[in-house]
Amino acid sequence: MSLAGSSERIGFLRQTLARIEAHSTPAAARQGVWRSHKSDRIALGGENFSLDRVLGGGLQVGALHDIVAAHPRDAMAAAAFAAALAVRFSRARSRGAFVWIVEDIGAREEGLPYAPGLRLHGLDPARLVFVRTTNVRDTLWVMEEALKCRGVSVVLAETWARAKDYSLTVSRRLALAARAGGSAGLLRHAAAAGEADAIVSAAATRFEIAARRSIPLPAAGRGPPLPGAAAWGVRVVRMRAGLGRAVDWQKFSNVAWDHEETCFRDALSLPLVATPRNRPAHAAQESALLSARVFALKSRTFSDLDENQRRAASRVA
Amino acid sequence: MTLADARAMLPALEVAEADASAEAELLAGIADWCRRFTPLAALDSPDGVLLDVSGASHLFGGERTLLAEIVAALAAQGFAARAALAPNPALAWALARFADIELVPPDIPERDLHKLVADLPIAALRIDSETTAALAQAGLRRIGDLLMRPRAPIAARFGAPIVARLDAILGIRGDPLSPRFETPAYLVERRFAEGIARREDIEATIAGLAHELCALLERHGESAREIDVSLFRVDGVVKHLSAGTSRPLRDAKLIARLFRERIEAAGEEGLDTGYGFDVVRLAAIKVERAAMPQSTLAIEAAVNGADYSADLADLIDRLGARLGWRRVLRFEQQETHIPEFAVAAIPVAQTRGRSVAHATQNGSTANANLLPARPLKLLERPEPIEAIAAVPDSPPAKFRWRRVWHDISAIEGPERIAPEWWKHEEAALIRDYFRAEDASGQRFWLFREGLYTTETVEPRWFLHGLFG
Repeated sequence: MSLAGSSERIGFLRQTLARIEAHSTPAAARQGVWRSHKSDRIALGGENFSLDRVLGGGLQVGALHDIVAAHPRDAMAAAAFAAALAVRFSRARSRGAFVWIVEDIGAREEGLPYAPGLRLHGLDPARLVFVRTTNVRDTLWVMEEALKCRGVSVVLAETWARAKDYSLTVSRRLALAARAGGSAGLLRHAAAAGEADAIVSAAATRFEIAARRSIPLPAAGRGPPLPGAAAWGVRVVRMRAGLGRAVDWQKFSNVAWDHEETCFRDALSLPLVATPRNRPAHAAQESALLSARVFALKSRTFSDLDENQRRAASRVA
Repeated sequence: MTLADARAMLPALEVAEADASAEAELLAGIADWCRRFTPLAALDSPDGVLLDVSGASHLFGGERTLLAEIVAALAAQGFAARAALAPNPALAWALARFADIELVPPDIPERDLHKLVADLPIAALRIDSETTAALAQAGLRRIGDLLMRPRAPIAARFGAPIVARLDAILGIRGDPLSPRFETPAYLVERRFAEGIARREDIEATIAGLAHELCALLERHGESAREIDVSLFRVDGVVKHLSAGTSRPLRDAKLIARLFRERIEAAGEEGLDTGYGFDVVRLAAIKVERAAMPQSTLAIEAAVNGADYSADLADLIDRLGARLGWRRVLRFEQQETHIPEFAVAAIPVAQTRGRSVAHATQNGSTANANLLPARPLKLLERPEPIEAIAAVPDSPPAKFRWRRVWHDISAIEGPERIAPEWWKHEEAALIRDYFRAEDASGQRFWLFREGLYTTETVEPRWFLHGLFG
């Protein structure tokens, strides 16, 4: 059976169930079982965003998601991806705090979240409660307590826990807390770069993140190009529920973060390239000229990608 | 007497250096211990403690019993103490040091009081030794000698303070006490015949006290902002646990939970139960009218019409109680453009100032677009890097940070940030910031410190922040 066929069928069955239940509980009918099921996932990008298709419509709210860097040098990419996910989650619920937990060791290694930078990332710092902890035990405790709280929409914890501190039991506690509080938990394993496949956890999803060069914008003069919107390589390592069969577990899909619309985009899609809105000075340039140059640059940017994606890129072009 | 003389008289004399700070600390400890009898305990350096027991002595079986209990309890701790109780602090001070009378009832007739005071030596007035000596030279050795003389000539010859002291000891003029701790607005306590040492017992006691405290607060229509638990250990040590709250609090369960977190955070050894605590006291130090629905939290936590801001405030209080308020933070904009000072992380519970919220009031990202690039994370302090640039004032081509070389493939800048010259910071140099991306896709925020030739011959490079 094809993929579309099965999901259609499941949708039909759910609607039938909703109709049946409507007779017994009026409240359930008004809310709509189908709708409530759909709204507990949050799409990461706009229409036809490839990662959303992989994830079966987006990421689950009220669940725990693990984020791991592919290599120690990708640490900040993982942090920024996690922050971007947090922005997505906190935007989806118009109110509620965003709790960001940073361990002291993390502060020494990577510094502390910087409010003006967060704003540029699409996050409203006024909703942020920023918690500093000294050890893993406190981090996990704070995360669990915050997830349980109904006034919190998303919790992002960056932990330097080693494998022995983070077990299936601990992660299950977090996942249960997230479900109880209806808030999303994002746990970034900063000390486990490259070990995404080895982590044992009850998280709903696990991502491996690699740094990718952004699509550069041409410089005004002759100098080197300007860095563009943040881009990352994202690999879905584990997925608890959903369309597990359809996922290519080894594939890194390239995504870019649009901080204006606060959504992810495929790094190969045209609109992102054709309307470079993040630096106003360059938006003034002739768009035709710009897109022509961008195509020329594209082959350079993604020279490190595999054959498959390069072919896709040329098809788009 | 010199040390040599003393040693000649008693060869086995033990000699120890006087340690003023250790003595002061010990005295503070004793004063803390004395707070079990009254909240108004004042240090009276270098060797005394003053307690205001007005309205408290009947709780201990009368003034005489109270005095005896204090002296006995101090003796059990190994302190030889003299105590006296009098209608005013100056007289109590004098009696404890210069007389055998322990107790002067508050309703003593004026004539008796004058007679009592007249017998005391001049030194009991607590005046400096020069004046005492001068008075002795004039043949005035007892306070009575002063009292029978006209006051104006005495004030003229020996200074006005001596008259003020006379008034103080006779209770004509008040002698203020400066208590060691703020007097709590509300206070409840529980006493035990024997010390309690188990953590569960202590927590249960605090929970019980919280109920009493909340009933008190309820009656007066007030809520606590700062709550303090004092645990008086049997052997005289006093432990303080305090918890601030982000919003006025009047819920016994929440108060009990706050202190459970505090005790949890302190741990078994931090609490140091020893022989157990025999007095547990819960005090609301700062209170607010409960009618003011004032929340210091900017975060609106209403979800689907239901308001969860109370839940959030509760969470934040518990985090603050366990981790300390310096670890539960929010960002506040500062009046400066120097990147590392532009935003300060301040405790969530502190009263609201100018939050960063104002800049993005309507969440418009259009103005965010116009803002210069800022990193997601800022290093705690800029880290020096080794950079190679074509010419000293051009963007770098590659740099080394934490022993790794990065080849720059895309770069944006410079953004020039000048030091705050109006603050007369002579040493500060102009910074040129760059946003750089290396060949592997890592993005950095670098700056060059100092303008080439005008400010420095050798500009230094720093890495200040990281983009995702």
